[in-house]
Amino acid sequence: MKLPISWLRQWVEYDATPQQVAEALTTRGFYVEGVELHGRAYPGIVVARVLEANKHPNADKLKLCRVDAGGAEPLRIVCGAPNVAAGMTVPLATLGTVMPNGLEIKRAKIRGEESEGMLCSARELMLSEDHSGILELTELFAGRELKIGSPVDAYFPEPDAVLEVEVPFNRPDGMGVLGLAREVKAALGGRWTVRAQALLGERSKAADTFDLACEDAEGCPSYLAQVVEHVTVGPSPAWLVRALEAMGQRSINNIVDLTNLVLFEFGQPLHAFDLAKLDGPAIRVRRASAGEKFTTLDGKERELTAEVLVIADAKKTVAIAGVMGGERSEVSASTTDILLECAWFQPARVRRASKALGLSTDASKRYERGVDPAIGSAAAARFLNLLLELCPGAKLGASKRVHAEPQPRTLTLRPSRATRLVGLPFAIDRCEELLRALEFGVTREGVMLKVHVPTWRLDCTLEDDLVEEIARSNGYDRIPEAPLHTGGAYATRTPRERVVRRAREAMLARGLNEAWCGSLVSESEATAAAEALGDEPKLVRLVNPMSREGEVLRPNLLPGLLRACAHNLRQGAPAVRLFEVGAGVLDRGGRLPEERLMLVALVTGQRWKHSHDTTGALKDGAYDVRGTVDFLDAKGLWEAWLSEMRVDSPQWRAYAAPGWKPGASAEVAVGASRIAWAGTLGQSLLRPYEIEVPVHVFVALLDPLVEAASATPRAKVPGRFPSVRRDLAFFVPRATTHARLHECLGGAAGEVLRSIELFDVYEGPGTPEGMKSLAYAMELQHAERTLAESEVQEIQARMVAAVARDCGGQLRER
Amino acid sequence: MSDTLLAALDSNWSAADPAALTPDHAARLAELEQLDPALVALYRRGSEVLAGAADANTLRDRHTALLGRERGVITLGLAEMPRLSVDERKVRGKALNLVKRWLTEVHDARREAIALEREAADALDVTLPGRRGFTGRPHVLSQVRDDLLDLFHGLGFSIYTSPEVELDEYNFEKLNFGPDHPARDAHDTYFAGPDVVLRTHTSPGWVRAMEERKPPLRLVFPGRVYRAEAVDASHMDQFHQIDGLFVDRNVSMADLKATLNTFARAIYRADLPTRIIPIYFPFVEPGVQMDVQCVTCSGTGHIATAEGGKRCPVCKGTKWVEVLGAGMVHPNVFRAVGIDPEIYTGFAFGMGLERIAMGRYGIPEIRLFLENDLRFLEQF
Repeated sequence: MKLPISWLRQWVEYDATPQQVAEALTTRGFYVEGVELHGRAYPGIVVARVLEANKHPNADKLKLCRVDAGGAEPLRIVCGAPNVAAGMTVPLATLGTVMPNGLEIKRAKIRGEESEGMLCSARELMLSEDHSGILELTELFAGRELKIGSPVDAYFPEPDAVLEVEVPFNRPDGMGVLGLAREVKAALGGRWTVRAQALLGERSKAADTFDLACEDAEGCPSYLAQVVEHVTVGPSPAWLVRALEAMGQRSINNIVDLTNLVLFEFGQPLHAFDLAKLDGPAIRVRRASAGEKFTTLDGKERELTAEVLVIADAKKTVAIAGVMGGERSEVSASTTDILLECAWFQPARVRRASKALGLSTDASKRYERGVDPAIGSAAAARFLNLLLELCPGAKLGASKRVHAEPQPRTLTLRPSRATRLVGLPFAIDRCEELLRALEFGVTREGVMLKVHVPTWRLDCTLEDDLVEEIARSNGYDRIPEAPLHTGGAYATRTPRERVVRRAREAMLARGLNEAWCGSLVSESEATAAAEALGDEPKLVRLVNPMSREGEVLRPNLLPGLLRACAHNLRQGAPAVRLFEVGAGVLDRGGRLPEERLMLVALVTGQRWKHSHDTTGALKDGAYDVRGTVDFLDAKGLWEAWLSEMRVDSPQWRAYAAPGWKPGASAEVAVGASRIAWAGTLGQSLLRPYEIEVPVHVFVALLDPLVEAASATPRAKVPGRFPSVRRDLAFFVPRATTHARLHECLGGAAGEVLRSIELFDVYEGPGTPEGMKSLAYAMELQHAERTLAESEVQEIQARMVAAVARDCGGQLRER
Repeated sequence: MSDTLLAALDSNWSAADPAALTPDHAARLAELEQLDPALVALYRRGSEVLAGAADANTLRDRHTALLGRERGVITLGLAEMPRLSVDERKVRGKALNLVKRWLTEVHDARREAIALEREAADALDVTLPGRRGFTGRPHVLSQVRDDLLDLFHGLGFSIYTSPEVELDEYNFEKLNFGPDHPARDAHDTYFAGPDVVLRTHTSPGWVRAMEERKPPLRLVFPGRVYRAEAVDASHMDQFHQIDGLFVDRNVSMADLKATLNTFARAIYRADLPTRIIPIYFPFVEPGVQMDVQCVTCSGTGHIATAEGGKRCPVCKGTKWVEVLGAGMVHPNVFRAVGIDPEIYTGFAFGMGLERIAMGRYGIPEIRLFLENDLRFLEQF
């Protein structure tokens, strides 16, 4: 809402600068976003008279003028305007003037002739778009005496400061200058102007001579219909045009402009119908018929529902109540008689109509928040008085008013409540004083106040609303600071929070950057991601997405990380290592979808951030430090992460689902529950992102880890007796997994086995057909004594036997 | 004597001046001349070939020839002693031991010198880059969030998490937004069903927490929120907030003001001016907005330019920048969760992570946060 200071001053007498008014409004809850100047000042531009306008000796289209600018000598000015002629009174930009467009006027030679200034067009003064010639000031300021040599600013109205006020949703009264004026008056200790008192005291009178019926009294408790005959529709006078311009409203015609003026002044929407277009003439306020078509005055045909309140005449709908009038009954140049509507509609009804039609107007914005139900009469009187002034031949015709008096609201205020909520002692006198300044009626009842809420303060329905009035009027800056006492309370972190924190830190320690990805993805991305984890893709879909790329919620975090991976690869990143912790959302039939907390990590590209070859060509089969991350590199990261998460002996099993590279994906289980997936992604998941390099990902559910991670370990004293190391290699059938052999060896070794590590996998010359060799380093240690060689031999024999029995393998002799 | 011993040393061996290794070389020769002139040539030659050994292997060979326990020249010399007279034996014995000690010294000095030369030759280019693994950085929003959570943890606020996909009832109705409330317009809402929304703020968490637990409550509610808005440099349809809630028997705006100022001092700057002003939110009464002084223009509303200054583009000349919304929990919200507003009062606040991060790090575009460009992420 714009608040021009020129408007404000017509209502309130106060002593403050526009900046101070802005400050006062802001600190009372009407945030002033800025103060702009409306209208211009023209320092350096003076009134001048053209004495001579002769042809420029060296240019056909230029004229060489002698101009009286009030100085001792006439000035020489070169001018290109076709209309310049001796005798004109014109604006002259003198040397040194900075024009509104920023151009500085300098002494110049134009085609060999000196020019000591510039004669200005209307466009050069940014008054209008007119650039056809030099502005004739005697026309612009018709009827005024112009003094040659005086600044043109003396004849223009002073620039008006206009405050841009953010009106809170609960203060519709602030959507009229009147309401803001009340705040300024209370804030600055001002008083109503004589004019304001007169306008507020006016009441429109209504007879019972018009055919008006409110068939929906709940939707429209108050309606004034007033006929005005013999009006002349035409342009508005200059004062009205300028006043509306300061409000940012362009002039349309005198009738519409007056309704707008009253709207901005009182916050009361008015509507003028062309009486001749109303059948009856009559007004019926009723519900629309469902499916009814109606063309609003913006020329659009709209389909109405029975929820929508409409204004109808004897036969047809003519307006959507509180939202917009109809095209057919619009006031036009040929209108001679109008019907003025000044009404109060139920806010929720207007809001629902506005929402249903997708149509928000100056009127609907005010009605849906709540217009002062008692202001209509003064607003209508203001309109009618001005109309009769602008159209001297007009006269009031038939009228009728339906009016339900607004229910007065009385609240009780305990100053003790204000003291308790604000944390600052408020005496009863102070409460009374502050409320009275805002025109609340106040009567004392012992230690409490009975507060009569003014009709325009629809927001005040509870005692605490009055506390806010007191707090903000008194000033939030006066509220003291009371440092928080803990009262013995302390903050705690839940096991789940600790798991999330550890999960992040453990991934950061593996050299992965944390990503935060968007939750909204396309349906195809979401479906593919859900299938990769074996989830039925019951996606959560938005009813009103902004784009196809964000139409469903992510079922897991794969799509976001793949988008990020693709983005970074496109930017030429040699390695992408990212993880995210967040929720995947899937519909599992509940009232709300399930939000499953997970960590997803992704690695691709080179193994090291930096590495260069220092040994010459790498030997065949050597681990290439400059190579790219492979499945085992990635698995090493995930294993280390699981270890940091205190996951005890995770079991890795082959896993197959769409989206993974066949034979290169695994699931990780602890006991009976699956806690993670890991592997290399397949083409079907990568292709949509145009990723053409191997990408390894890891998906871990965090909730199953909460218990393990929050368990407190029991200390074990490290063994003090010497350990024995044995390296054993076995030939086993190619299909035998490491896990199987590992388990078999571990079981056979018994409790003296301290560690067992795979150190070589071999298949080639020397390997029996269909077999492979796996070599393990085993460390054996007894807790209470040194192992004897014979015991070691015995254990080794058990292991060899177990491998033969369970895996069909044999010891690989040296 | 000396000649026969000397013959055991290869005459082609390279020699060098041992004076460089043992500064008192000349004095030793003179002493030996006095004691047993027959050994002078041996010592001279022996010390020269030791000093002249080019590498560790050569040195070892010459050491063996001279000082070897089995067949070394000195050992041979000592083996000849029985053939000498008692007096000669005395002198020779003393002289040979002296020569042995001195040659050992020359040898050790040379061995040390060779080792040093060798190490010098093996010197690395220490400016070569190391074989470096990757370092992981927490996301910039994580860092801001954790700073805030740590601060509030210290003030006794525990974390409460609530769903991102939320019922209208919790996102709006129980927060005092009736179905036709005009303030719903300020929340461009994504719907996932007739009564299901993507939460537009983290405040529904208060309702869930208050329904679940009994006061006193001190909680913070971090999380992602959604608004159905077109994405551009300053708008995202997904962003992040932290709400806070404190409910107890006598919580007042003075407690709120102190808490907000503690926040501003810790997260912004200890001496940055702040102010609180009224604002409207349906779920608080009275409502509070906290502003901090604009850092860009130092609270003047203007910044200097080549043309002599212009209105500050950050605060738009208002000198203040909004950082959060807050207020006293509305009695209707308390009633909706079954808490008696006559017994309990409470304050709440809510702030945006992106706004704080953008101010702190000078991040110009909100889109950067969810783009995950490594060049962006690795800066923080």
